[in-house]
Amino acid sequence: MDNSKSSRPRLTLGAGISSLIIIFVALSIAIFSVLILLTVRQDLESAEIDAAFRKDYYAADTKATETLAQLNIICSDISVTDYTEAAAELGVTASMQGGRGNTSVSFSWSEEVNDATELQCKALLSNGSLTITAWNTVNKEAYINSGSLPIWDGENLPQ
Amino acid sequence: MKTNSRRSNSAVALMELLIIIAVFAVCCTAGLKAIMTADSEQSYAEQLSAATNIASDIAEQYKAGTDISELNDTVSHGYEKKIFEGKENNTLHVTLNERFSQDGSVSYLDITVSDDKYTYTQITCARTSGGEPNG
Repeated sequence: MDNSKSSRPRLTLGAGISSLIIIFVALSIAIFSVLILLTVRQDLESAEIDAAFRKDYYAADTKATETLAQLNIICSDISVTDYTEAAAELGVTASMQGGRGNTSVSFSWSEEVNDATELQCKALLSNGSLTITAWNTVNKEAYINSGSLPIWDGENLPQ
Repeated sequence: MKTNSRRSNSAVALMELLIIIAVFAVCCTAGLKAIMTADSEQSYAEQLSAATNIASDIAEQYKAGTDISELNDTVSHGYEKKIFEGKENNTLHVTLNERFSQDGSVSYLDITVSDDKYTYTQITCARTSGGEPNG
């Protein structure tokens, strides 16, 4: 009876299992901390990109405002007769609109924000007053529509 | 014989324990270092983001025609106390400096947002002196 008891294999939690648990915990700590660091780096990178973009935007905005101030001076100058030529000196495109007695001049210019974006500005001179009609950022990279997907046009059944 | 076997077992256990302690120490050191770096970078990223938002906010208010004295009031009573309440070290300081072009047609506002350690952003915005012609 005693012999059979002693021959039965005993399940004991020795140093081995606790060591494995500790290694698992330590590795988990290391892995999670690296993951935390990677996430934080991404946050930081996006914050830096945002800060750089806003800085570039306001630099372009300042240049555009200077151009607008110059246009204001030109428009309030009675001696200027040809707005197109005067605006061209500032790098601004001017186009006459309307007919006799109701002529207005449309000015448009742009400032580069960064490689992919530009600030497009438009102003309209009408009845002696200059009004901003557009002041927005535009993506310079053109959208390319591949048009490769065979989409049913609703008329001819696809064969 | 029995004594030798016991000695050998305890030696193995000791070795195992030492290796485990070494692995644990190395992993914990690396982990703690990474977490501390992450903490400081997170704090910097938060400050940078807040500073950028504050600078943009002030720039837009200035462009909309808000007076510089009013902006100074907003800066001293608004941003520094509201946003980082309770975090004394993280208080952002906003410095505004207005200047004009030579002909006086454009006014500029230099906005600097910083704290005790870093200068996070420096933005210059402008408006026409007669106010923006609105569309």
